[in-house]
Amino acid sequence: MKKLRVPFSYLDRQFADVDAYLSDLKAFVKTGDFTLGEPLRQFEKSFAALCGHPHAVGVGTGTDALVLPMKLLGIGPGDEVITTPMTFIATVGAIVQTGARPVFVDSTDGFVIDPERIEAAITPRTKALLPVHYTGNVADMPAISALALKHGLPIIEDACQAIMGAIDDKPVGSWGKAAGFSLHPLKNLNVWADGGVVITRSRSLAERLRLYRNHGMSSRDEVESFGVNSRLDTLQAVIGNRLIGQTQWITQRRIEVAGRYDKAFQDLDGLSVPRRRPGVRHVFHLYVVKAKKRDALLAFLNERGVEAKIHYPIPVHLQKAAAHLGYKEGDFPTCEDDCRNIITLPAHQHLTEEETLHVIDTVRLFYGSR
Amino acid sequence: MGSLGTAGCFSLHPLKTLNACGDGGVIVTDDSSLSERLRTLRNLGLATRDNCTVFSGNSRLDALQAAILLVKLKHLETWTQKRRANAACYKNGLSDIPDLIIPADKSYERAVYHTYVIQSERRDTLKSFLAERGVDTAVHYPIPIHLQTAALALGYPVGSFPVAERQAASVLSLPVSSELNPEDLDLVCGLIREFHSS
Repeated sequence: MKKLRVPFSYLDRQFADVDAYLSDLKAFVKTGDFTLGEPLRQFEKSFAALCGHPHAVGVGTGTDALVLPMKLLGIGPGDEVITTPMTFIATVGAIVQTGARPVFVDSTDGFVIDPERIEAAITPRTKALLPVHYTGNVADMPAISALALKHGLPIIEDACQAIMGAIDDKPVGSWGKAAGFSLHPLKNLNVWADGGVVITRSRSLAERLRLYRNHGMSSRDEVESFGVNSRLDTLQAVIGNRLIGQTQWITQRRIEVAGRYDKAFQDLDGLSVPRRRPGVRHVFHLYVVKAKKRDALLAFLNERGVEAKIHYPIPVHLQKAAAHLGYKEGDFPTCEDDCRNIITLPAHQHLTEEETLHVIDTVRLFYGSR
Repeated sequence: MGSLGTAGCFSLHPLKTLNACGDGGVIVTDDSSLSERLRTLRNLGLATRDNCTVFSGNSRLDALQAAILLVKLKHLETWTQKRRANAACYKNGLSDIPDLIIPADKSYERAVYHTYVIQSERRDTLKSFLAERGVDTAVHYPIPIHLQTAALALGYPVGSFPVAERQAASVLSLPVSSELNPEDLDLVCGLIREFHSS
């Protein structure tokens, strides 16, 4: 048995050679340009260009990248926002932060909201649709857009895990009034702390976001409307400016590793690889498959140095936090079944050939088909 | 500070006395159940990686900023003493100038002089006078909050808060940071004295 460790986090490798970052930071700290500074403007410009949209506004967190546009679209208490329970908790935390009520719709076998079930969840109180491009897969945006148009509802895309995701070369953020991205240290494009970006095609929304994230101040002394403080740290933008040029490479590497896994597992009975929708550019922030005897596989992999994880074992609607919403087990069977069976394998850009093979071999060994 | 209320709220903004290289804040409290709830609430309501007890936002002080602050925290007492010494210098140099109000230094308070705010009826001309002679001052703030465009909906007319309105027209913050030397402060005092004797 090889004593190979395949870690889930790659941060020590990504920043093994840290000098260039530190020299950028050293020069930056001397300027004292810490708040909404020049490197942030530069980062926003590069981010907008990378995502193929005209406006990018840096905010404090990926969560706020959803909260702020929702609030500016007037979503608040008494309103409902439709999303899926197959997501990280932050999506729902964002809806609750606005005062609105989250309304759930089951997911598909690709871990994204099922458009066929959305219409039944729309009520007169529905104020927005919030599809999540979960794991880096892109939700079925053409179908969701058609529904949004029919019902006159805005879309906010949760693209926190899906930078560079696309359908037929249309990048994420193309369908919503706004899309929220996360720069959390474990995201495909990451910085050294929490951070988020809102992308929008609307100049007026971008301008309002710039005001709102900065206390609503139109100048040092004038407050146009009361806002919040949720600014992407300019210091983090300095890190982002160095990393953003690598995003294409990072994405490509993740897609390659995922492709290797997909192929290596296709003949396994125990493991089911989600159907890959044609035309969708899945960017594999997470490589998630469904596994028979999932918990045993997880233990087997961990014992053999493969740091697999579960994203996540408890669906959002069954969390204690959701008790007041009144959902019960059985309400969203696809999501619930997935949460019992999914497993996430390390698929990051720093995996070596040896490590990739070790993951594949160990999974195959577990199912007795080495 | 922070021991008088249920919770005390502090900012670590780059221009604060204890400052980070970005935005940040801290809450202090004696109430251990409140502090536990705050720890959960700042982290999306997650009690553990997989268990969410209450839906919440994400507002965590960056660990990277904390590393910077840990270096600075050791100097906080020294910096505060320096600011207080600077304030004492100003008091010494400015207290006998008529028509100038300086901060009341109450014996039961320990003012830490994040800003050193004087008040003058001729604030704007004093500000330009000092600026022309190389002294950077600031106004915190010229428009009181109830008269901001943002507050229109609250319906407060001019005159609602005469003290705050008068102060907004007269306040001026003098440089008081721990990086200043006694000579700098003497210079500022001399200029203000010169202005008021003209």
